[in-house]
Amino acid sequence: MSFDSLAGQLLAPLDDLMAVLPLPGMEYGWHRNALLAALLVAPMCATLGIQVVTFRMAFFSDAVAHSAYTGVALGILAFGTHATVGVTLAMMAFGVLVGLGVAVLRERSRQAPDAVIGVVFPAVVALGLVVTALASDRGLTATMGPFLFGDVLNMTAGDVLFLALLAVPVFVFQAAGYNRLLLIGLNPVLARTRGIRTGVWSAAFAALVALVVTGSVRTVGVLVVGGLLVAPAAAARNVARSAGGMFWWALVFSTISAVVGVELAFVLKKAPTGPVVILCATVIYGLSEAWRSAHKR
Amino acid sequence: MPSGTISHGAACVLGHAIEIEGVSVRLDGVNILENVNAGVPMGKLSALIGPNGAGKTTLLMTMLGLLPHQGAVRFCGCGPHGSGVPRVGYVPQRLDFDRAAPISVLDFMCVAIQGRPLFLGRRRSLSRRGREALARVGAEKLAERPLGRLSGGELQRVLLAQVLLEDPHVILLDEPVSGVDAAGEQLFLDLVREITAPGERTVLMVSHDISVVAERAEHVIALNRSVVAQGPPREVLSTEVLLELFGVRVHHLGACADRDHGSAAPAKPCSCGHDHSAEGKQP
Repeated sequence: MSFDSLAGQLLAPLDDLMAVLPLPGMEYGWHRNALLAALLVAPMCATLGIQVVTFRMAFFSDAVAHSAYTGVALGILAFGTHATVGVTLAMMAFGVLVGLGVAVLRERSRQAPDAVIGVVFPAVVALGLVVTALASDRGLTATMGPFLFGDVLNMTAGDVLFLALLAVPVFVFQAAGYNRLLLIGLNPVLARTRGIRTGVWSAAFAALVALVVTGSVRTVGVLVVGGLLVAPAAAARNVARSAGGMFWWALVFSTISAVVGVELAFVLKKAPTGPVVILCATVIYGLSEAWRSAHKR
Repeated sequence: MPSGTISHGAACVLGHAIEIEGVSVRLDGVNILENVNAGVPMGKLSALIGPNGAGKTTLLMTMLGLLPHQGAVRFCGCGPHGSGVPRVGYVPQRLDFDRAAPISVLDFMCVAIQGRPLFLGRRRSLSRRGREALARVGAEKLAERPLGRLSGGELQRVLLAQVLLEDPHVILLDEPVSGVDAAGEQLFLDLVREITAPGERTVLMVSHDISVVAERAEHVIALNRSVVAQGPPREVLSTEVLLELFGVRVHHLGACADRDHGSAAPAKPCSCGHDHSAEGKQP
């Protein structure tokens, strides 16, 4: 049995439930898959976004997202254009490698963190461009499209299950690390005196961000995935009153962005789904800023 | 290679809470600390003074076990017969966060001691402990305030409350009064004195402020890469030591007068044995 048909069977009850939702487009299987994928990716990114904002890692996550482009090129070169699983794994592995590489360099180098990322980021993209050009006769360019711009309307049940599996470590990590990362953000020395291994947690976080961002690029695209990470978390910080509330607001804002974005793109017909989701998240962020200044907080 | 040790619950000289023996720290090829030997008396407020770059914070980090070092740091047994492992608490100088972060004071109190992630709520028992600790520093009204809205003095008190959560035997304070106004500083130091008062808690405080040290500390360690002098303030804060430490004549506000004679006998010669008439004249 292929992974896709197994996923189809596993997700069948959920799919039936989705089919009766009173939303436009629920009669189409591809639309249901798109909504499910968005509903998995958006909250996953948004909760990690809380720490991305805390640790000022927005630029880092953008760089890692762009490394997906190079990862895909290398994956296609290694496994061929049709080995989706191999290419996806290669992309994620490459992303984690770049993420950890930047994390180590940031620790060791005397340069400012954004300078380190500013060196690695273009280098990684340049490598991707060189690889795609050198291997242009192998149908590489056409295969890259879905990764660059997102391809949420062609998601299979297997893709959705893959995202669900990716969500497991994210939420386990949040359950174990939310307080610890918060304390590290407040004062790393205090965290270390409390027995928190700051280096291990920072590296694990960098790796997880890389994993999630690269795992999400087929849903929303390399160019805009950063928006899902930062915008809902930033909006949550504007309206939340406590450290715990921030988590739930980020979940709520990202879920609204996912549902409204996918449905709006369906109704507008020609609009690309991923970018519409990002625009929704951006509008919510704008509203949160307005709310904040109106409440003088 | 650094092969230093840090032991908790060690056998020490009677009356010591911490013993530092032959501690050297080398970072990036620079000797920050060289053969530091010091004893911190139990149940007292001790101050660690020295100029910028003297290695005060480095010594504190070393004692917390965060830096590779040579030599030995011993946190002495705190039980009735010198046994028992002492709890050691640390109060940082400040918190690194942006002031817009929605973290309440009570969140901060719970974040270090609660296993359950904060998004599943604060444990009621821990919230109560947090409020009790805040009450001990007169900050119970700040519990629901965002951390970013606190003044420097309020934040210092919250940091002090945080360390009291686990009722430590030894508290290490890193430059507690920097960036706080005079009234806040007095209040904070009164609190520090109050929590040391039972005589069972030992406080070691890094400080820049000689007048504060002269007025409040019961024991002083003067550090400039190694220990220049240590002992009661009236001995350590002599013109000679301060000159050696800071390279300029430092006027401290009547350490001896306050401590030994009170204001009743200002004209009497000071028992600390140095000529106060020379002080206050900056070269």
